[in-house]
Amino acid sequence: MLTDLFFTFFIIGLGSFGGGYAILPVIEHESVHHGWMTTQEFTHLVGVAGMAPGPIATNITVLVGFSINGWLGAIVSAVGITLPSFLLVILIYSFLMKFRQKKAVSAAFYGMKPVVTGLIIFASIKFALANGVISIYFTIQYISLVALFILSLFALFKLNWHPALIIVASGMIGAVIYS
Amino acid sequence: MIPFITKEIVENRKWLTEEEMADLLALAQTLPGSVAVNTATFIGYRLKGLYGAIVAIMGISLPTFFIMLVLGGLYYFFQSNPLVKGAFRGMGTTIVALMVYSAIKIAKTSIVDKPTFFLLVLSIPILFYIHPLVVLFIGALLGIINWSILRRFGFFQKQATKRMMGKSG
Repeated sequence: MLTDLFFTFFIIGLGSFGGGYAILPVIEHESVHHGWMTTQEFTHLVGVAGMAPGPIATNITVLVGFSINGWLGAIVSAVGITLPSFLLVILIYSFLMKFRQKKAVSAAFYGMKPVVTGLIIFASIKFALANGVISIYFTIQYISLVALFILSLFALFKLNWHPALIIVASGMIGAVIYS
Repeated sequence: MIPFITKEIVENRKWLTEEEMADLLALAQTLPGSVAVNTATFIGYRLKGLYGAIVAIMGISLPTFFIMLVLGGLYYFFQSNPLVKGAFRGMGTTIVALMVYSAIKIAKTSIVDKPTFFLLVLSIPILFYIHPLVVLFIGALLGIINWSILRRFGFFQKQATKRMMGKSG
């Protein structure tokens, strides 16, 4: 199990371009396909990960590892996802300080960044479905979820609140109206 | 996070010059993984070699690692509490909003012309069937193919590469 965790997150770490939310659907995909958890449980963990400082992808990795195999799973998964970039940093530093000027790299990013954007949109559709933000039943509860969704967007775009603050605030609202 | 690191390293500790820092940041963004963690590793390696890199990556990762263990433990302990269940219903919604927000933000730098827009629209349905990392790789490949074709027909080159280099990477 530990080697499975390590290699799964090592591969994810190798491909974690774009950072942040772009890599979440990859981790979700792997976690669900390995039978480690459901998409809904994963979204809960994203909520937990978003409350803490630090890169959300690594945070969620620690949580997935922890849920599968306790603190040992957390360590193995965290090392797995961090190791590829660590090795690359050292490799690149050793002989390619002018790496960023290579036009081929920019060209690759030109094609990759739209996919990263697509990944985040894909992830938000999936998470919206798993959490009832997209639904065909217009119940009171659904309307309240949509209201909370719009409020969150408002806090992000207009009030410039820190994401962690919005997560905690919506958690408190949720605890009051959904319990 | 990044301005915070820059201030500490360049102004307070004077470990690197501003230009060196800018180079490291640009490189850190190109590599997979978190920009902050990559930058820290670069700085460690630049100052004290392999040992410095290991110490730096531990230093930047360990605090959040322990915070996550504590939060994770709390989550699994309280997860069946109705209040906590309700809280996570509310939080799930905010997570979706956060993703929409970051998608819009990243779209501003990634969707620069018709090909990139087309790639975005195409990638979303494909992602439901093909592994995300494969799609990411295909995107990078298409970017390179597009670039080498443009280069072959030098006619388009100036304007196209300018647009590409200016807004991506």
